[in-house]
Amino acid sequence: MPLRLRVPRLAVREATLDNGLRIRLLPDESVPICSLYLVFRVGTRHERPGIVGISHLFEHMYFNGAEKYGHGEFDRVLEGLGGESNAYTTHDETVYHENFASEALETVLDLEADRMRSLRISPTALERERRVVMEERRLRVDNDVSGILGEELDALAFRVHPYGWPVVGRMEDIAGIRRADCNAFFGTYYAPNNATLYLAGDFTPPSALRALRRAFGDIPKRPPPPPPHGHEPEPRGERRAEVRHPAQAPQVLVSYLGPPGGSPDTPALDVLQFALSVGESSRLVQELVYERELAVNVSMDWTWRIDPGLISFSLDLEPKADPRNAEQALHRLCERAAEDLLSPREMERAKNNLQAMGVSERATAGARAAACATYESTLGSWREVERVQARYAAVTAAQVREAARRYLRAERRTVVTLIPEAHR
Amino acid sequence: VNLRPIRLPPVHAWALGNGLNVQLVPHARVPLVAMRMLLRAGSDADPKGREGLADLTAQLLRRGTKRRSARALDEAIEQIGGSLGIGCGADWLALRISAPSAYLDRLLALLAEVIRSPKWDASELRSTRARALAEIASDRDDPEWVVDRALARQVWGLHPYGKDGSGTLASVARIRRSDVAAFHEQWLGPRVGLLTIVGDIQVARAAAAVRRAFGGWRGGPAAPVAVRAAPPSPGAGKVLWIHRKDLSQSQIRIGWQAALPPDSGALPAILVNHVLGGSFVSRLVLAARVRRGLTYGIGSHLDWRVHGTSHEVSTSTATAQTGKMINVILDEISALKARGPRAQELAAAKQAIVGLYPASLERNESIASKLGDVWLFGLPGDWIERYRERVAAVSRADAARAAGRVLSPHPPAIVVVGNASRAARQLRALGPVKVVPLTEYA
Repeated sequence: MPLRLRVPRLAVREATLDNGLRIRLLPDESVPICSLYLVFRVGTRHERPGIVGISHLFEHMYFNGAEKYGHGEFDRVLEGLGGESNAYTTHDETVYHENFASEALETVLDLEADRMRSLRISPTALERERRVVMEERRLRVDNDVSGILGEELDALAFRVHPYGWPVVGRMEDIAGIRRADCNAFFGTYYAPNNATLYLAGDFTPPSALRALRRAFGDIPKRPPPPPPHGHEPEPRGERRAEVRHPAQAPQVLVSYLGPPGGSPDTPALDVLQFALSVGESSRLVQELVYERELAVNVSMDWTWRIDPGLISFSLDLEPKADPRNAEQALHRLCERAAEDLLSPREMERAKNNLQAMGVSERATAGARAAACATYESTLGSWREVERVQARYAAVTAAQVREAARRYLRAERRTVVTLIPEAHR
Repeated sequence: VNLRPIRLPPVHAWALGNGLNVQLVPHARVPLVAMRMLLRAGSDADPKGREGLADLTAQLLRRGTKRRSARALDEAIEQIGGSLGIGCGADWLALRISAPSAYLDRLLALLAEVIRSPKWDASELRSTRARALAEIASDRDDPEWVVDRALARQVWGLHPYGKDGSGTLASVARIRRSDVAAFHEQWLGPRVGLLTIVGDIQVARAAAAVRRAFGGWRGGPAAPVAVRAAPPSPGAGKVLWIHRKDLSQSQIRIGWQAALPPDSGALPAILVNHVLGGSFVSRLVLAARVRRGLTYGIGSHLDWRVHGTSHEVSTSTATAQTGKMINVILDEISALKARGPRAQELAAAKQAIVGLYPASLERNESIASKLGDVWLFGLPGDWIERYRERVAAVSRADAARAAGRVLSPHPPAIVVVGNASRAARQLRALGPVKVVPLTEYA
């Protein structure tokens, strides 16, 4: 039977400072900590050939000192106050995140505002972070089979759009990014009017808002950044590649060009993803792993993005398996999703799991802030968090089939196969 | 250090007549519940030649009961928005369900069915074993997996902690249905179990459901498997280099056995580890990443387990910098060992651990996991409530003593996975260097 879970309210207070910085406050006094997300609307999609990876390298530079808190101070001060920081870059955005004891709020805002106001990009720091990022690339891509395959798939699936470029950057571009590029990047994209700040946890909204105005209010607004370029044309046929690499077993990655996260097809595709791949009773796991034993592991990824993104499948196989068998079986499953309706039980199971996940996503203030940030970045408004469950509830099996028909088509497909070679 | 009280949900704890420990924790923030059946049995009970048995047993538990097929079981849990996970470590095996709390009774009955009456279907055993073998094979492609496994062997030798819980291609291929059934009968039972339920529950009703589901559970051991004391590290003072010509980066591990005092006696060592490599401003991060740009990530970790603890440093760097990186790490260990943390470093480490501790008590799953650790390690009953004040009470002298005792009491074991032809000779000064190919090693 369909679940009807009580969903905790978000209780978001919104504000926009005069300089354009958008603020979302999510007070929750149950635990004496705060969680802050600062999202800049810049990522790999804003880059150009020659400096691919600058958004990510810049994310590293953002920890390297500003006018008030110099090199190394950001993390030292934060940790001394009982806090920790993290950051990540995607194709669409760059996110800075801190968790800290609530007493530290004023200082954390001072730290964040200092670097937004007056970041210093020293030549020494840039050279050092360049080497650190090269090590990161070696770790995540060059010496990692799934990293190699993923990069190959993206490059093949996108001919034009920067979603085909690696977020960590290309080695020669990481080596070539100049200090002037970084300064220009900071000036263009790290403006208060290009950012949204989410603060969740133990504070009272009026005093937090006063503290935010004090910290960020004097940072000048800047001209809006130029829009990103690169419209991916509709694909006209399947694209394939083989990767030969030392490995024990073959792997198959299959992706289909999907819609943007904000598309009306998104809720149906989410239901499809859950029915096909989330949980042990999902179709792909049942049929490919347990019943036909064609794969050892299967997974499906459909991540919302601002522009059309990929619906991807990954198949791990046994060492002696013929990758063509698993690939054909996967294609057949996708075709069936486009031909036949999901059963009522499958629809219900997918929706129930989406609902339970949605509630779990709201169990803590920090998780609620993270959800608001993700929804606002990709769908344009944090209020989508409130609406999404109703959208899932309304999805019909016919809509799921229609979404599968529209996107899981051979001509939108990219296939990358790992052909194992012996380790030497 | 601010020790503003945290509001912990009440823990209702008792034992059933059959010895099963039960903890019910009402925590009604969201209409969900987390249940965790923790059993004091893991890969340290694997018989010789059947390494991987506990792990395979854990995987096979969910592949069908006497009453329902694996598929019917998965559907019964997932149809109502729940999920089941089963895993095991060296000293434990855990079954976890997260689900909407309205279905508590049904889920408890399913959990009991999984642990009490598995079917051990022959064809499920064959296919589960085949998947396990395929995963062991693929794990060899992951330099981090290989280096971690090799370090465990160098630090713990033939002790159970020296073996990988997933077993080897040869040992897993030997496992039969009778092995799995015997492991279940001999090592899994109520007297070595703790059932923790955290979430939107009513205590009296949940207690009745627990009795219905588990009251009749019998069998299993009276106590967990006896584990002998660890031998000295066979890899101490030696370098093991696993050669892969295709790699452009070395995965590096440095480790040793660390004798930790029990309970809060371990807290000074935890703080020392935080200063060495437990945070983003640790000495290792500052020395290797911030000052020298040698690596993306470096950290140290106290692997605190029931029968012993190892202390490990993990990092990676471009092949040509391997020797330099290892020397940077060894220098940092020596300096901290000799003088202990500075007052300011210790204060910051305390603040970081204390300040974020409440965050680990927010989710049902993390509360269940913390309570499970307290039980598994036999920690004092007020461990969670008083953890922050105990951390705050550690003095600089305590920390200095802990640094002297815990940090590499003998020369550490060093393991590298990378391209030896380019760099192994850089390590000659560190001790005897043995280079082995991946194919011979894993």
